[in-house]
Amino acid sequence: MKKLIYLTLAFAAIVFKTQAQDADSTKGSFTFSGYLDTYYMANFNNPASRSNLGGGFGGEGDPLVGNARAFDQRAGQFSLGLVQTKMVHTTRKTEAVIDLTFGPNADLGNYGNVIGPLGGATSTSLAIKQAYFTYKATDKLSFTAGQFGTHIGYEVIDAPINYNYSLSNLFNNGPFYHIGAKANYAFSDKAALMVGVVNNIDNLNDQNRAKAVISQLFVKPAEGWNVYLNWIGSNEAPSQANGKNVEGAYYSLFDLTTSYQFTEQFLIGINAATGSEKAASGLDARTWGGAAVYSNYAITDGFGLGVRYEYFDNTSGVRFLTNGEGGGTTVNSFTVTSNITLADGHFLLKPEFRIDSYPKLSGTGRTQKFDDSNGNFTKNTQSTLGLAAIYKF
Amino acid sequence: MVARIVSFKKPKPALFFAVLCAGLQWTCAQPTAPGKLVFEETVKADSLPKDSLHQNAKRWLASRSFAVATDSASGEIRLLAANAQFPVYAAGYVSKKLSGMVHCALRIEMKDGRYRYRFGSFVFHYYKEDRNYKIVPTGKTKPLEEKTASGWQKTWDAHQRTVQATIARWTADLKTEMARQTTPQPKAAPPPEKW
Repeated sequence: MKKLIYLTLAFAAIVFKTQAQDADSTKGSFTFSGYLDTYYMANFNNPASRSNLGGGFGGEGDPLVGNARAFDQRAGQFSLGLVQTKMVHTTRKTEAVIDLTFGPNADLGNYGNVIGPLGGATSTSLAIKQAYFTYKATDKLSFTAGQFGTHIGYEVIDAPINYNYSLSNLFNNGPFYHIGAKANYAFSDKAALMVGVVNNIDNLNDQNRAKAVISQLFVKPAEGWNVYLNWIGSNEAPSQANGKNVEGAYYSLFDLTTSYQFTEQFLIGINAATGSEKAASGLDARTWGGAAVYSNYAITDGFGLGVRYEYFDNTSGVRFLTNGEGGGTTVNSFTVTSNITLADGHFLLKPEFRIDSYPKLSGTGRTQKFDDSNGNFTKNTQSTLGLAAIYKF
Repeated sequence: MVARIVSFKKPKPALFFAVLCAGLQWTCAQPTAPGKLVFEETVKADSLPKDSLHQNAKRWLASRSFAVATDSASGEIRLLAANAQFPVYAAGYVSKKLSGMVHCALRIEMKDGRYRYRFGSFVFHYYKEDRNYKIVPTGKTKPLEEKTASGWQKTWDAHQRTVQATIARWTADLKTEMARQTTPQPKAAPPPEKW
């Protein structure tokens, strides 16, 4: 029996080695990866709702739909974030990506996929964060079709990729994903242009006959300095009862994302966006925008500190982030995050402190953004201190 | 004739590991300078003039995607200096992921009947997944001569073994290519003068 085991192991070693060499050469490679994350976020307001969202959007005083946070919504409790399983098959000419996510943050990230083709309240489409394939026509030109993460913004859904665990308001009020097709042309390793046509923003199905146009210009002015200029233009209004598009409805978002690696340890990043939305012709376009500055310092390979300051302006009230009474507002957010890498890079710990500050609504009887321990909306700021644990494979 | 059945009642562990290592090609080059990650050797090539060695070396460098930085001749020595990079991977549970690229330098000095190669300047370039899900360089580097890597020691040790295995493979290939008997190509005759 032992000899059989020895010989089997030796044979397996030879076969495995041969397969690994094949994968490197002609047959392409298959990668299976993913992560899961969980967090505990203490809120110094000790809100009765046990929520970091605050009130506002969706109705006065509604404690669960304030949108002050994207994913780290629960206060004072252990919470599961997201489970990801990602499969990538790559050959010299093609790439296919199946990126499936499950859990509370997956549902929040894929909120536009809840209605299945049979009209059910849930569907397997909800699990699809990304599913696309790319054909590399030449070394410079490639085509992609399917559902893919948005090109807009500095941050992504994936917690291991972001430095801060808690997501920015720019992320939360921008697109998450698109379904459509795009072409990318790399002029060189210093410049590339992407142009595409997609259904719309964050929806499995198109809500009208109009298509959205997306574009991204990438330039690399110097080594370590990346600049992305992003845009999307779309008609986001649901079609009329007769199936026709709403005339004059328009959504447009310009976004700048850039980062510069000053030294091997120190990185600065900037994200700025300005958007406008018009519900129909004859109505005024309402705008929103903001800017975030990121700075990260890697003290060692396994330990770093990052600071993010963000200002977000939704005075027009067109986006989801509102004050406690559902009106337009501005917000200043300051986040300090440490990144601790353990277990050969598989295990990440992110202790984090964040402050969100909204203008105080003056006058008696006003509903401020955040609830206190008695459930009264008396607070216009909130501070949270938490720890996120992420395991990636 | 009676066929004899060979019995492996007590397989030797050493034999097993020899077979296993052969399967995995665990051949590692050993650094030739103490404390430094340098691999150098002087190799005799009795019947080959330096120009043939130079041709062989250039062919080998091209086949391995080396970027030639210096190609010079000084007295009885011809010199080729080139740079290369190769990927190193982090072991996944199901599949591997790109961890970074190792950049290195190679210097080959050639005389009639012998040559000397020297692999050195091994530097690991960190890569990470960016917001477009592409694995891209971070701009951060780490000399392979460093022994410790806080938080990712196992992967770092694996990268050092990969470097030694790669150099072992490359030097074996290089020696084979350098031993090839070739005659230097005659210079192209000048075109006939037009008149």
